[in-house]
Amino acid sequence: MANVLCVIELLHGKALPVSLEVLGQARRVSTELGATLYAVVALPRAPSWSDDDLVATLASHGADKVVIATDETLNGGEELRWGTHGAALAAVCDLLSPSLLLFGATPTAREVAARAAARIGAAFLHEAWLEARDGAIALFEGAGSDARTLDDELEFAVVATVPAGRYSTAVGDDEAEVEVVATSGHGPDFEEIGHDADSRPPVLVLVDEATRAAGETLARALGGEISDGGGKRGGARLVISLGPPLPARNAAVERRVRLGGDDGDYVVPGDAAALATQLARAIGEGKSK
Amino acid sequence: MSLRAIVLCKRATDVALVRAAAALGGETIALTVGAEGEVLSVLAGARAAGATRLVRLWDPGLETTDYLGVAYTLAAAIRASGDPTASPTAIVAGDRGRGVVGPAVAERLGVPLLGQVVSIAVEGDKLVAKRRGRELVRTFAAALPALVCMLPDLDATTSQHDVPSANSAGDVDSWSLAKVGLSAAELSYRKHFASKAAKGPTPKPRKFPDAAALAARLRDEGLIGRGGKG
Repeated sequence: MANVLCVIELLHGKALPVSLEVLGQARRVSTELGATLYAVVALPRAPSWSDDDLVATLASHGADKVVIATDETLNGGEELRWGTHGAALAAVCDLLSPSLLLFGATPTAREVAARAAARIGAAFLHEAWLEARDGAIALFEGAGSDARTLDDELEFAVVATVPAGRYSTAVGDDEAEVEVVATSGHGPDFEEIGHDADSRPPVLVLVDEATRAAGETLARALGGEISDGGGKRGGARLVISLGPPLPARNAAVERRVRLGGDDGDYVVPGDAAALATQLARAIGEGKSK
Repeated sequence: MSLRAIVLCKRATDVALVRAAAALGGETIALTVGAEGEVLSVLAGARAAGATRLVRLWDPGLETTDYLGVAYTLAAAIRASGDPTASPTAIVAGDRGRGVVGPAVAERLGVPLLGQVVSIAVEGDKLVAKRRGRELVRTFAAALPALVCMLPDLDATTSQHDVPSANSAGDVDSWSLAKVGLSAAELSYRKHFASKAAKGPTPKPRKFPDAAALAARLRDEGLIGRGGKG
């Protein structure tokens, strides 16, 4: 039976939404293929019975089994990186020989997914589509007439990243079998020696004349900057447009949001200026909670 | 031993990688895989950006291979240019597009890897790299050899006048697979892993019913902070 592995990326101890969405589509694909779906999490140590929220979350989102790859060199809060998480993922892949190894398409997962693919000699798909029909799977990279596909027999392993918002989550059981895989044997790595504040704005709000005032309110609430789209457009992790064109997808911009339109990664339909004011208010309410 | 920087070049915008590598001092090698007509202008740009040596590797068998076949070839070419474990070698790739070849070369060579890198320097015998994280720019150091994948400078603009003509590349070492100790037969099995053109699905944006739902999602993703800062 084929094994489908879904690598779960954590933020403050919780699975990222994109990881749960990838797990959801992996659930649908695994059901169609009759494969076993593993959610894979790297942690410093196995969670105790009293703090098994993460395992319950992954089970309830469709995992048949949860693999905890324990590595005492992790502290549990670091961002995904090959140097820190690679050994754990390698140990799991050696044990389970995945047919499909899936990641949420996040900036931090880029190097990990790519190196994992090379390590197991897999085919690689970036920002992939995973479509299951009639007991088979169709895998695509790109979109529409510019897309590319792999042979759908899955005769070799495939590593794929899947972008946020592409698929919905799934519903699974309340419990999943847990396997613990201990990791050892790190190779040479980069060592963190310091950090600085990021000089780029965390959020860039793109405005036109009609939305400038609302955009300024939103940018203030987010600690970001505004732009008319003619100058800096790509440096922020989050770009929200109230009018001007959004930048193309790239490795630095994590999310492109359109208020009052229909392009980008996330959209909210309606009047852009009014939505910007509502979003600023919602952020302020989050701050007071 | 003197420092060597090897830049994996593919497109014209990779001159930024060459500039960053050349600023380290020492020999800067621009290495590319491609037919002459496709990559000579890329190499000319690399020369203008400070590359001291240009290497182009090509074999018709590479046309049908996948990312890993290319990575095997680049890794073999890096070894053929001088053992990276014998002399301090920094390898620089671009972190853009699929972003798969650089990490695959690192795996093939068994060297430390760091992506999302915005700047590099050499301090003592270590490569120091600044990596863009979720909230901070983190600084990392590794003994050489090591490979970094650098983010493009998205606000930099390149005018038509900045692109040198292909015939200004100067001397280019043209290597075959045999020169780096590989044969087309060793790579040919990877053609089965390569994707082929097909009509695929069309992406649709995720629609949120209101601003509050969007705010909640962005918070869960760590893209905006609970404190109101991004």
